[in-house]
Amino acid sequence: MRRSLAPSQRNKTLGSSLSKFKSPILKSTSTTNNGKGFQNPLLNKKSTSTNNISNLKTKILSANPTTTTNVDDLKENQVTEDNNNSNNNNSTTPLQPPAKKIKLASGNYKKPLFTKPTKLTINKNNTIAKTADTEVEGEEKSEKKLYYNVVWRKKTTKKNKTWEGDGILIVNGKSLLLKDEDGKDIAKGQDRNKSLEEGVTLYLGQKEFEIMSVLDEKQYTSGRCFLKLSDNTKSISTGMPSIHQNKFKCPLTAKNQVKKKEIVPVPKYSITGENALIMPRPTSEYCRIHNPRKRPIVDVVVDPLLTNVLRPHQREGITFLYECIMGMKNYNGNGCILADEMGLGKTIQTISLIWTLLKQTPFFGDKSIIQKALIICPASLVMNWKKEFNKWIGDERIKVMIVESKKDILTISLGRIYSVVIMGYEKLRSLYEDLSKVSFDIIICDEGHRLKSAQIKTALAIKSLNISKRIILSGTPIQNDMGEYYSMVDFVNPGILGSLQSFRKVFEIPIVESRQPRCSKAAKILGEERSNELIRITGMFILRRTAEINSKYLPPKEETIIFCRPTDIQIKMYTKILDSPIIRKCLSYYGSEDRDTTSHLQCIIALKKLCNTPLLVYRKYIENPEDPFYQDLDDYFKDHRLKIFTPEISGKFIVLMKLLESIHTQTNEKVVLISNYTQTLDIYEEMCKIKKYTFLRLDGKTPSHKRQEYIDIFNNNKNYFLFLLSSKSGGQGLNLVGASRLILFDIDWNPSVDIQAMARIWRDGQKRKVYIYRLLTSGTIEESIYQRQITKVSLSDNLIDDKNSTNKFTIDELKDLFTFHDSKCYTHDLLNCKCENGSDMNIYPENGNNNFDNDDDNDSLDGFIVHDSEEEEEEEEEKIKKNSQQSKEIVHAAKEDEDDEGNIDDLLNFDDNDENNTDFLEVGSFQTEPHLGSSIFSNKLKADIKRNLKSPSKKEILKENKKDKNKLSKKEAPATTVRHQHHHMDELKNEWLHYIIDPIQLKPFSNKIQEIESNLSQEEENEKDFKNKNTQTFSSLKTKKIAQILLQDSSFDLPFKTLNDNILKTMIVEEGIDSLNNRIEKSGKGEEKDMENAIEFIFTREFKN
Amino acid sequence: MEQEELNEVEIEDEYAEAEAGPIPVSKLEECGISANDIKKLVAEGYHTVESIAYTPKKQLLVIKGISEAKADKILMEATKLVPMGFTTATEFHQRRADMISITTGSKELDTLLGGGLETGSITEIFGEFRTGKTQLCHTLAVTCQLPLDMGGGEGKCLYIDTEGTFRPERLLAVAERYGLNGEEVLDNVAYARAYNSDHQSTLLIQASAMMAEQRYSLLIVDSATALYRTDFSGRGELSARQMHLARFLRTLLRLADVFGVAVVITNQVVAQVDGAAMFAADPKKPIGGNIMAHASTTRLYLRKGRGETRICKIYDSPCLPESEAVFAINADGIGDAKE
Repeated sequence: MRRSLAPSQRNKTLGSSLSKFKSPILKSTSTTNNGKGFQNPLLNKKSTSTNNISNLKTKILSANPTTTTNVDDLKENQVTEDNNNSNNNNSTTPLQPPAKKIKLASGNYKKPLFTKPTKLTINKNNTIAKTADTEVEGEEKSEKKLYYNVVWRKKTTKKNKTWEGDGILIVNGKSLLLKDEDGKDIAKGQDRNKSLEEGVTLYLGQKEFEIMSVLDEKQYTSGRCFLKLSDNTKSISTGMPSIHQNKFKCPLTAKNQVKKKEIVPVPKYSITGENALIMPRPTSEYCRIHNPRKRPIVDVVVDPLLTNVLRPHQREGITFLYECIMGMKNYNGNGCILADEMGLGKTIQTISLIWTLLKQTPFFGDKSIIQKALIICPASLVMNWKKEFNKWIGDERIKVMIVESKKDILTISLGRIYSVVIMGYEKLRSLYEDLSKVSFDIIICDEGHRLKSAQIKTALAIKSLNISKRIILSGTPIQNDMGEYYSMVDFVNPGILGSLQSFRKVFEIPIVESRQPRCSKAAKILGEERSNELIRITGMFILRRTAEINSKYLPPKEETIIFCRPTDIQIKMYTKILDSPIIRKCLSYYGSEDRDTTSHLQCIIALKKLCNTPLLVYRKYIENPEDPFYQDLDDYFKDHRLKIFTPEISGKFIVLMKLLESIHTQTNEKVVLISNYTQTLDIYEEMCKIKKYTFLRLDGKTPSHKRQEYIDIFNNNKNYFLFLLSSKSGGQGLNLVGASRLILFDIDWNPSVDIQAMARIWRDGQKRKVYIYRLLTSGTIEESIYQRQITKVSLSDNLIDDKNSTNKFTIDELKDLFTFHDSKCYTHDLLNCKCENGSDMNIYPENGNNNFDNDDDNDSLDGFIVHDSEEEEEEEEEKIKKNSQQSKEIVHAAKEDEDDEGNIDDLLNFDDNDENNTDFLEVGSFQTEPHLGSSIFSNKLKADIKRNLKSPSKKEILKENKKDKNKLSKKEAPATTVRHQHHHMDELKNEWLHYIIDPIQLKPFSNKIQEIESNLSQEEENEKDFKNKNTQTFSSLKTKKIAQILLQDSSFDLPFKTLNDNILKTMIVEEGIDSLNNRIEKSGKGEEKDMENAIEFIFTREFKN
Repeated sequence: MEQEELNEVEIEDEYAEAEAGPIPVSKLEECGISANDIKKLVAEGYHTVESIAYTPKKQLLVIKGISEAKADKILMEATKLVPMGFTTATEFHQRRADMISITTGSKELDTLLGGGLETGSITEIFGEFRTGKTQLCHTLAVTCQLPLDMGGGEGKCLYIDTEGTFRPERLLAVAERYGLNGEEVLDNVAYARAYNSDHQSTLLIQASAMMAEQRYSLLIVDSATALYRTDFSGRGELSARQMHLARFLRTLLRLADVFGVAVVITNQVVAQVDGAAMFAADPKKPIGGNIMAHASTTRLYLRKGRGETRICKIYDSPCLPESEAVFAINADGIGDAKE
């Protein structure tokens, strides 16, 4: 064995080197040797002894006494000896005595040498020289440091010793210094006459080491030896003679062709299985291009492991994706966009597709269609994707790698273990140059609406990777305008819509033109034609289904919009801000050239904060007391309630707390609480501490490895009641099906953000009925934002829409935003709903008169809209017309170009910049269609609802949208009659159920209430309420019980019978009872009025299942 | 046009093969292992990343100049690149379905073996003299070069000969039978003569270097045990001999794992002279003892039939039942027996 050879070899070297080894010259004697090579000065006498070692011994013994040898003398000696040697190689001349100074003394020698040491020294020519003279070397050491590569270990007496690590030995004269690989000093010591030769174990302090080889001084001084850089890139020789190998040539000659075995191509999985999902076969045209080797065609079948769990729409989706990716469709490209709504299973469709492509090919005998896949997604979803792969396919079958550093990319490129690679968008941006070394065959961009701007670095980085097969997954593909639409389409299929300029000319401008209110017929026709063509082209590779499909498989969902009345203090602060000089400045400067374009954004933020709770404004003020913005609000800040957390100062918080309490006590369901602002999340935490709710929080600051952990804990663990989520970082893609109630606390300009957030719980895996609550403060800016959202929602269903060229609010819009609409629900008023719940009474009656009186007349008429005459109706009509015209002119807000990002980021300092998501201030456009009669609202809402209630296939949606548009545009009706209006309203009313909690309504039941109360109070006096001695909560418990009893009573007849949310029902009745009692008992006190401002008005949208 | 297509196809094939083969050890350099260390590994016979990943750490430590820290690092990098974890049996089953089997020349023998000689494992052929072991080896040396759809391995052959029985003329005869170009057939066979048991092991290191560069489909060691019989003698050296033999076989197995070649070793037999086997039909057993027995995956026992026929019996196999097949030694190699 080779190993056994080595030691013996080593022993041999000692002896053999003496005779045959001719080491090159010493540096000192380079000139004199004439390049002959160093000849051992001791080998001059062949005759004296055959044993060379003894020769050496004598020589050295004789040489030793020269204690005072200096280098020169020795050199001289060597020179003379060498000369002697060179002259007479084989002569038998006796050993010439060395020059003067060497004496043959007897007692002075120092080192008895028993073995011949072979020294390794470096000379100028960089060759290994051997000297026999330790003394010489000693001298040289004093001049120069020597460096050796060593391996070291701690001293052990073990039988099987191993070397712990590598190191460097620095020899400086007599002192030795041992450093480890990283440059740290391990041991120091003196050279106790131990000679430094290769292969011998030496000791230094507590460490043993063995010299491997000499280290170049330059290497050490430059520090390269510590960096472990591979400087030696030459090819590695085996050290053994390699035989010359030729490549394998098949010896088969042409003439004799033995019959080949018939291979019958068999598809990988059985075609005849029950759920077999077979991909379409390639056409002969396709084969001509892609099958040069004319391999037999075999069916590509999706793994039955997956098809057993796939839903029908998902099967269609996979087939669609397969056709697009393989290029079997009639367009020039290999990309597609899967734009299914949230919760429809985009992930599983993608995973099935990747698995099929990784393992199969339609041409039998070829390697599989793809070998490596790359998935890019937001950072918080990276773990989620890995888990999904594990869940559906399994860790043994497919190896998935998450890239965190450059090294991971190396592992992927060199090794063959990993077939799927997942990265975050940010990682991609930093590592894309290294990524280009790996050849991926397909790339999938999750939440691909991030790529909507063509110029951003991420998109360019991805394009530079040269991957032809591309898929974009996005639940909300089109958020704003056609430019974004173009970039996404151009990303997946470059060039399919032409260049950006040509797209604008050919499609965008004509289509926008045709939507203008006053356009020529020709322009209209042209626009329609163009939009048809656009839909036709993109329809080939964009697939979208709506969430309605899901409703078949999931438990029902109920969405409720709750308009909360603001509290006293909120209203006052709100109006004060609106009167502040800053807003006046905004409004007045608008139109002048030097306007401050950002100040209105600041105001909007402040107002939104105020709607959440005045606490936020107060805290901002504390941070920055000099801010002129908050100067006027000084008086309000003195309110003691701002110092600590008291929920009662904010209308929304009152509702929230009641809601949470009811859910917590009446059910064991879990709640997800979403807000756009992390400061609000902080306040939630305070609230939870007071109420002792267990919660988990996920926002931008949560480290990414913890995010999946929290989600899993929340979903599986019953101990956590609340999940606080920031919509920006948690809004997308997360799976929180552990909760069955979701409260969306505030509202974002971009409806897709809210839609995404609300889709967190109604998705696969949800077992209970889902309730979604959206809280808005009535009469404030939030309502205006909501109104804009409604129109934008319908925008994303249409593939094409309008876009106005100006980017800012008009002065009218601003005015509209900055008004406080003093009504129970502004939106309801706009809708002009004729139900008995509408009212235009002020929130606070100015006088002390309450609407409430004690007589038994039919007081229910109080405060309702009563339209007695047509005149009044026409007045209302005109009001609505005005509103609608105003809203027609609403245009985009600041577009998020890269330049504006900075500004917006600074302003909206609520948000942690988690995902570089810049969807802040987006305001969509209304469809500028001429509706002179009905309010834009009602039609939009109606169309929306219609669409939502049907469950159309992709094509139908497109057709329907087209039809809708056509219908609506044709309806250039003049001022409609009242009847017409009523008609719309009725339809709306049928869809929208709404009601009001007014203590007035409960009045008829007040007797009953008192009855129940007296019954209960007897029981409760016996019980003791240990938890809360607070009288407020005590009374609320009481009212809760009353409410529950009342609801179960069949004779209790209230208009909100059809509301399915029991919790809301109870709350409403509670509130009613509460305010009934309050009004009876404590009328006139200002503070308690705040208690009334809970749920006042509710819109519901019930999805019919 | 066709020529271009064919060229393209060839290039693609090459590319595919380069991807499919084992990873050369030089790739470790990119992962941060210094070139010197790689040189040391190569000198010890580790030419592929797979071979490093499959060895235990203490074997790496034996290499001169590799310290523990270094061995740890090397192993860590190597295991990252090589799939060494769990997989499902379905996957494995599919991989086995794609495995190449090399035809032996006789259809009956092929059927007995379940399609031919398995690649990726060690097959041991033993029998007494004149049973056709060397002839079978010569035939296999040619059939391994046939293209895949003809039952071959489409690769070169490595022949290590210990007894000096290698005859290229036989190779030419077999080549003619299949209509192959004789010169190229001989070119594709790499032949080495082993002179002692140590040399035999050393040759394997060289073999792994060669296999890392070219595509080999078969490794034949004609009489793996012949030299051991004489190099080690007596009871005293028995343990040394078995250890040596075990290491040799282990290296063979590693070659089979890493490169996926078929390994064929020939074994001699010893007569059992004690009373234990007197009443048994064939009082011969293969030498090498249990070491040999456990190392080889499939064991075939050859014995002489009538005339030129020989009978092959499966002695040990993980998946083939114990049965017999009859084949004949013809002028053009191994073939079916003519009834």
